[in-house]
Amino acid sequence: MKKKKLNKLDLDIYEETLDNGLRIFVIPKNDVNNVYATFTTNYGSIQNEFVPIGENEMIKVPDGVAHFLEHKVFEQKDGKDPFEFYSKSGSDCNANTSNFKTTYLFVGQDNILENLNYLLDFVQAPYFTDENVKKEKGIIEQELKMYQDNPFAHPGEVLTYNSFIEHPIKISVGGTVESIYEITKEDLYKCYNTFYHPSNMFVCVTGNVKPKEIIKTIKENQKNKHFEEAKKIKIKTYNEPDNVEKKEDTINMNITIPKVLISYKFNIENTGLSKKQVSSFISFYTNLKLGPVSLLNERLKKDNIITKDIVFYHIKTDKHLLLVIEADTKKQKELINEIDKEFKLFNITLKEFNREKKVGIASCIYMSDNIFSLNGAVMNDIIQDNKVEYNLYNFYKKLDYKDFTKFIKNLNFENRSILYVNPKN
Amino acid sequence: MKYQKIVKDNYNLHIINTDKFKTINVRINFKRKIKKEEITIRNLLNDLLINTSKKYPTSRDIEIETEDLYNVGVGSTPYKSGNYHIISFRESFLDEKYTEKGMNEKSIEFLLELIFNPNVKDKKFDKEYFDLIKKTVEDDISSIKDNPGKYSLIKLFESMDDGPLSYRSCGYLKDLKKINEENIYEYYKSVLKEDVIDIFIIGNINEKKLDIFDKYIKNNNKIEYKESHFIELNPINDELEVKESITNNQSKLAMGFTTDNLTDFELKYVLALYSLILGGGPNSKLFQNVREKNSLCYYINTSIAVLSKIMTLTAGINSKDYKKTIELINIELDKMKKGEFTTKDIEDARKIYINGCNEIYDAPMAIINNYLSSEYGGLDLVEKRLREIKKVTKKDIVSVANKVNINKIFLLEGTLNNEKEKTK
Repeated sequence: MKKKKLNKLDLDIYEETLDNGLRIFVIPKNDVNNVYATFTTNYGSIQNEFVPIGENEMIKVPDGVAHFLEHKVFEQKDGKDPFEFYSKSGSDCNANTSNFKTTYLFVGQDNILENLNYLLDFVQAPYFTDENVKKEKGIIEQELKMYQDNPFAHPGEVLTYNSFIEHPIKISVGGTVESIYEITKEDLYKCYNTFYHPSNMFVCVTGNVKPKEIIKTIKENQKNKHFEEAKKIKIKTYNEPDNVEKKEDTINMNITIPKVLISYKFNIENTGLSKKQVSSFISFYTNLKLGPVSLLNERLKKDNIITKDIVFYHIKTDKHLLLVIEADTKKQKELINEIDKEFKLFNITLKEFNREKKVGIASCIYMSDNIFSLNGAVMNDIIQDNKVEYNLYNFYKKLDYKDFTKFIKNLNFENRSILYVNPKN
Repeated sequence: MKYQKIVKDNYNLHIINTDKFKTINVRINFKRKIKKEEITIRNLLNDLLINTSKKYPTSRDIEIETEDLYNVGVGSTPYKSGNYHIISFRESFLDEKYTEKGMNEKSIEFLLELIFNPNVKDKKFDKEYFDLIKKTVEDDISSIKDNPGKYSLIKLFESMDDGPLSYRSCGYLKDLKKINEENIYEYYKSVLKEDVIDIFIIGNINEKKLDIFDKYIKNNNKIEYKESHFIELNPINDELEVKESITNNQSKLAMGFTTDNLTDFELKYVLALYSLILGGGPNSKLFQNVREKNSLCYYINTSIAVLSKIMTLTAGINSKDYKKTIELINIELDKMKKGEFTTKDIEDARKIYINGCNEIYDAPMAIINNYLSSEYGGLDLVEKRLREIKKVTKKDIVSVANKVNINKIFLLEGTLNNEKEKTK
């Protein structure tokens, strides 16, 4: 068991890797009542072409399998329902799937060790039948339709689809109503057996716990289970081009005010920066240029081009960063012009850059006061960098203005895809 | 953790002292009796105060200051609370132990500047900013259909009642038209004078350094409202079903249930457990039967609104499954009435309720809410809740189950049908 200090955050993190490859991270925070435990596989919607364990050929599975699998992992052979198990201690149990990972979790206060054991047990005992797979299709169909109707979620999915050419990140996590009806129990077993091996998974527990107890419990639990020897999983790599698939597109939705979305696609392979630095710099720049602190935001409001703040976020693959801008506006073309112009003009001062660093430092202290944010930060670190950043405080402190300037000035803001979202009728 | 309420000349100060958090959190509430025609002006006023002020005229100035104050979080929400309407300002900032000495006071002063030193000249709000904010409120009101889930609840409440339950939180265009930069300043002055002001502050606080509130808050009449927050519904008609269509993939089902003369204990505790068993989470009767056994929906939940003494049920379904869904819901409602649920169901629900109470102590804003809802008479304090919930018996739940009645069923019918895909 390795113990490390999380610098300036008054917290420690305990780490252990078991013989079967399972990694464990524990951050005790004993002044709260809750415990948050997550069990994550390094497997999300983007790993949909791979060589299944014990086979030799690359296969492609239907879109939405990782998410479908997440639903079905709750199915148990003895007919017991994990939700029922957790409810007896009043705990919440849930799961979620993203492009990059699938996480099973519980939040609770009592019977923590028993709950933890059960989390490992139910996730590690798959039971898929033709019947229980069929049953799930109607449920997931409703989930997908809910997102399709959602003007805050659906446009972003369409834009991501239009921005990538080869890489499966273009496909939305849930797949489509058509693709999920193709999924069979054989697909699920293949994906499960390949990606749910302990060496491809990790546990993270934050909150009111004793690290030694947690690690001992997980060790005991795993000792009694048999797993094949860990092998490297062969996943298809993509030679994703730098250009976008579609430069412009229009969709219609039930909205009152039209929207426009812009995605900028950047190649981030040879920046000399870590992924974390790249993320910070992009966030700083976008905030200073389009965020509530920007002059542009103020002017666009005065000129009646927008009424609400512009929304922005980014997603990363191994090779690209996609910066997504989203705004409600009746003057779509004008807004695109303004944003294009603004991005190409680099005029960020050292003072502004330092203010954003200060925000970064403050946000890691806020994060450390919340067991859910702490756990989330560990999960993201492992998925992105395969290691925990112990010194987030210093990471922000050390961000360098010159690096920032060089990185931003090299970005190609010409490379973009636009999506117009117009009201139906 | 130590709580004290200090009744000041112009406001009530609620101090919760604890060294458990790295942050200090403040909430300032302005409350008065709800009037339908005042909701819009209160929304607009709320947005005006939080987006512009004398010292920080533009929202950009405000945002830059929040970053300079180590990313202080400020926000405000106007909301309905039964018979009353509240404008609520929130602030969360790092304890100066983690930043610089003097930041605690600076951060509080920042929030007070926004609320009490508005962007006003010659008894008028700055015209340019007023027009901008008015436009955002107009957009909010006219785009209520963009969120079909929220919209179906608005329509449900409007079909159940013509009192406060039915008032739209986002306000009304016809009221918005009447507001100008002058009459809203008049209204603002009346808020300072006639709204009851409650300030909650939680963290590692030096009480002696809280005089700053006195500097800003003056001349409040401290009206003592006698009427409780609880509302009685005023039904409009006897129709059971209301339908509306939308060109969406999914249909939204929203059901409203009224209750017959529940006692305080039944309303706050028995109804809470009843709703948890019926539709409280993935282990509930509705989730298990409508979703898991019949695959009709992805989500189906019930929740209770103590102040209006109602329960609501929401689900997203295919329009063709509407009848079947209602049938299945009715079966579960009947089973609850007949007491066809187990002791384990009750104990599980009770445990969820208790954990929910304990969880409150983990988050500063939740602790503030605890004292706040007790101040307003909605819910009891956590300690009492934990005692009372233990007293609820199966007999109590069956009795309440027989006093819960379907009042209205609203269906926002999605007209896009993807039948063809299902044939695969």
